[in-house]
Amino acid sequence: MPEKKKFETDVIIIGGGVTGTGLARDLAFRGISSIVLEKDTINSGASGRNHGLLHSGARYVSSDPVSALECKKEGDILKKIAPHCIEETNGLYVATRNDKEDYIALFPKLCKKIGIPCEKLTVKQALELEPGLSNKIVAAFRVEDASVDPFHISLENMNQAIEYGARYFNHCRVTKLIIASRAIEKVVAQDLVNKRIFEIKSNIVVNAAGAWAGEIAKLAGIHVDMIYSKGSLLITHNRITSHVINRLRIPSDGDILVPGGTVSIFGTTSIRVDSLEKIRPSIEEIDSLVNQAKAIVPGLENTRYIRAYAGVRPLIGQEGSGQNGSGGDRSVSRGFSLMDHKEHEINNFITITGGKMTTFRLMAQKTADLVAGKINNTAKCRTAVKPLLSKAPSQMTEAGVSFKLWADKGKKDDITMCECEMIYKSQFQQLISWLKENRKSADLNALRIHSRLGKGACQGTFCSQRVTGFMYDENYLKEDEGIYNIKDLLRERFIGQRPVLWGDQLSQAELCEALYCGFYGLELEK
Amino acid sequence: MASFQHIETDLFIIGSGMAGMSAALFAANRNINAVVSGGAGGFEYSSGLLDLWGASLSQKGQITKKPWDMLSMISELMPLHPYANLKKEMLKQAFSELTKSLKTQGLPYTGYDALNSVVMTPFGTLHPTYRLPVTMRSNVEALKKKEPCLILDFKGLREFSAVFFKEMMKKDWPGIRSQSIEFPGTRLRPEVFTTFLARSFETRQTQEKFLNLVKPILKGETYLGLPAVLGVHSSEKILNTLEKELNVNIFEIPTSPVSVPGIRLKEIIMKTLAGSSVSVLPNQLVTKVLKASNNGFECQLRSNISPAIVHAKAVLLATGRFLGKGLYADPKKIHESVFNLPVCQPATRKDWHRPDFFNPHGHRINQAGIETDDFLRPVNKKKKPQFTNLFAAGSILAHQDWMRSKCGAGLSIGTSFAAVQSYLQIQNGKFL
Repeated sequence: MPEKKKFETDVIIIGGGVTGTGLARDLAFRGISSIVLEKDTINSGASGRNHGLLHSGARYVSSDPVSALECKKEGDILKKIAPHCIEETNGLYVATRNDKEDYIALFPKLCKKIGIPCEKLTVKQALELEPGLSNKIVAAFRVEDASVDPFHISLENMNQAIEYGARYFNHCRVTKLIIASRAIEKVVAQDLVNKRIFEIKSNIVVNAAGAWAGEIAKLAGIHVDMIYSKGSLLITHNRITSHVINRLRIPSDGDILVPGGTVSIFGTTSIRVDSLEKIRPSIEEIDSLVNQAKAIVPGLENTRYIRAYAGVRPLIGQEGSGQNGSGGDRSVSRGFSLMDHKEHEINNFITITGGKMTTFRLMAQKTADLVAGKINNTAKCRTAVKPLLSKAPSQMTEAGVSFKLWADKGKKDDITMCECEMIYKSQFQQLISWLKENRKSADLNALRIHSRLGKGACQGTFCSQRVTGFMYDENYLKEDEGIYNIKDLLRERFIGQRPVLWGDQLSQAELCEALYCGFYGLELEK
Repeated sequence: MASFQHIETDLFIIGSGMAGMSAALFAANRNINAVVSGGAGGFEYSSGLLDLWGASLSQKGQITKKPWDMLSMISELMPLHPYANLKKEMLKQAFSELTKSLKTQGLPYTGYDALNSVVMTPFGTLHPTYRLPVTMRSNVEALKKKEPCLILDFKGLREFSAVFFKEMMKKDWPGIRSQSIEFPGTRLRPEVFTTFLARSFETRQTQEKFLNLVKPILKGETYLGLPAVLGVHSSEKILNTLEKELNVNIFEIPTSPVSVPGIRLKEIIMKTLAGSSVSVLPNQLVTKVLKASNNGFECQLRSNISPAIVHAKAVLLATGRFLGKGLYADPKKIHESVFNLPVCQPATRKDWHRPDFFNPHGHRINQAGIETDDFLRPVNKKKKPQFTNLFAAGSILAHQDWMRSKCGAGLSIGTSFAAVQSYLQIQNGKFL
């Protein structure tokens, strides 16, 4: 048997979501090395399956004032360090006549008390700003919400961390935590692509596995009481509004519409689930969302949706909440949970979970502080002042960006590979070379994650075969690899389309099936 | 109010896809006074292959070379399938009548009497078909013989990569080679399109330049394969010219849209209809049915130039499925777009699609559609014809999944042939 591959690092971070990658960046700036182990790819959990909303904080003024203020502060920081990942759309809070009047009256007062800018608008003003709003709204306020691309943020986190010495292993699942004398001695993981088992030694292990944090803790014999809350969201074919639109009521299902580049995202639902297997948006959820949506933006009833997606919010049950670092840092809010497993007699193991996209940097900072304390590193956190900007081509995850980049610098003899999202051959070329160099392999799904491939109206029908052909031309693919690439991409895209297949999107899916099954017969290929 | 042009006809064929255009051709051959209208017709999405039945019914997940054996099993295995009601002789007659007309106009088709031919697609996957354009004859032959073969692609043509094709085939075809060339006259065009190349190939100038480009790169290969762009109206002639001068067997590989062999079909059928008893109203969709009864129909058409109302004694509905706009789905239900006919469908949207796109059983929504009587007349819930003189043909029919069975063209050709027959029988008072 070949000897297992072995690695060493200061910190192992389990989970390549926005928290894990944010932590890698934070540690890297402090001169602490890390390896991020991700069982899938960047943001494949809740980090990539949310609204892409940078909260003003107003949503939590009543239910969670601490989180509300954190959102406000962190939002201001992110707008400064990562303006290229954020669109400062501003947000509107609007109430219908069915929404509780006392909350409508209380809302601006709570905002003021916490320090969250909130401007009262007349209904007429709101309708002028957003003509798509229902004319039956009865109250409106403007807040400082923004739209953020979570993929762009996480890719920048990771890539910048890598530039400062961090390492990133994707498609690697942690299988064992080997414990000796009150510490994790090594982490055993499996590369899911080549099936090889390898080991990593480190001083500290951080569990940033999001919804999977309970499962990772279990490998160390620790029980973390997780609650799985599934949320589904819908993506429209067109951008519906220019502002973020929030329903002004106590947080509930189907409250928020967020514009993101050329599309809008509406959600969410909140359903308690028992398992993390097969998390998919259901048809019932989608129908109920559309039903909620029309109350604030009537056009959402008949607009074209291109897909839906679902994520699981990692929430910490009562039992596990409020356990803070050994340093007695009491400022960790209910919004996220930082656990030092010293309390469970494993001195070098930390779990960070819960929280929100908006506050990821703060979560990373608190975690890094705890890590640094344990290894006597006294460097200061610099994530709030250093621009979140890497040299990697990570901007192509944003809708509409690739065309702008091309229009600025593009060559005249370039070819459009994806017409829905206007992505050019030279851009894929750049991305593939980068992936080859930095991620060992490039396939269609990796291109999808790093760009807008397969994310437009055709959901991969035309672009997948063109890009596959191009990858063969450039010797990136061999033998029948292309067929698996195409099948994997179309399969993955279909999961999200299935609940919204009616109207025009159904015709689109029919064309896709006519081509890939009717003509190419890919359903018959093993 | 807009003034309408009034058009009187005996048979109004709604839909200009494979079913509508085949029906129009069959009507023309029988001197039936008919009008055909529709949208773009989807031919640019059609491979140009005339499939009869390609999926094996005995070995799941396999293709079949014996379509007639499969069809003989249909009445037992799929008693509701539209084919179950069509006699083998009638299907054969429909195919031969259509291909005969195509040949007369310069678009000859080929294939075996009893067997399917297997055509290589751009992915190197194998597509079973019953009739194929002669420009693809060597595609079938080359696959069998696997003799030295050069696959060509054209720079800037995104629909076909010779390397992709070669990589897929090379395992048991050692003599296959790929090369990319710049198509004559496309230097200044970064993106080139199949239709542009095909129309350019019609000129002697392009053919000569192409010959000069290809002669030096051939290394004694027996076969030369290239994407299907060998002209639109004279593909056979172009093939023969090039083969003679290059001394190699040339074949086309059907491409994904925009598909030239599909466009050839449409243009050749249009040519056949010119001067016949069938008038074509292109790019005009029925927007409203003003009257529908056993005595006749009145349908309003959308057109920017001359809005028309068609008065017809009978209607043949060949509007296709969702992409063709014959069917329309809202979040709850599937509707028939023109007459709001009852649509046979799964109980709820949850049952429309299976979770896996490539599920070998196919999606249940594909079996949804219009149910008919033996004369291809749409029926109501009591299984009685809605109207004595309304017929349906093609992919709108229920209880079939042409994409998984690989029977798209055959279904359209066969049922439109049968529908035109039924129309004549009913006109002649043989059945009421």
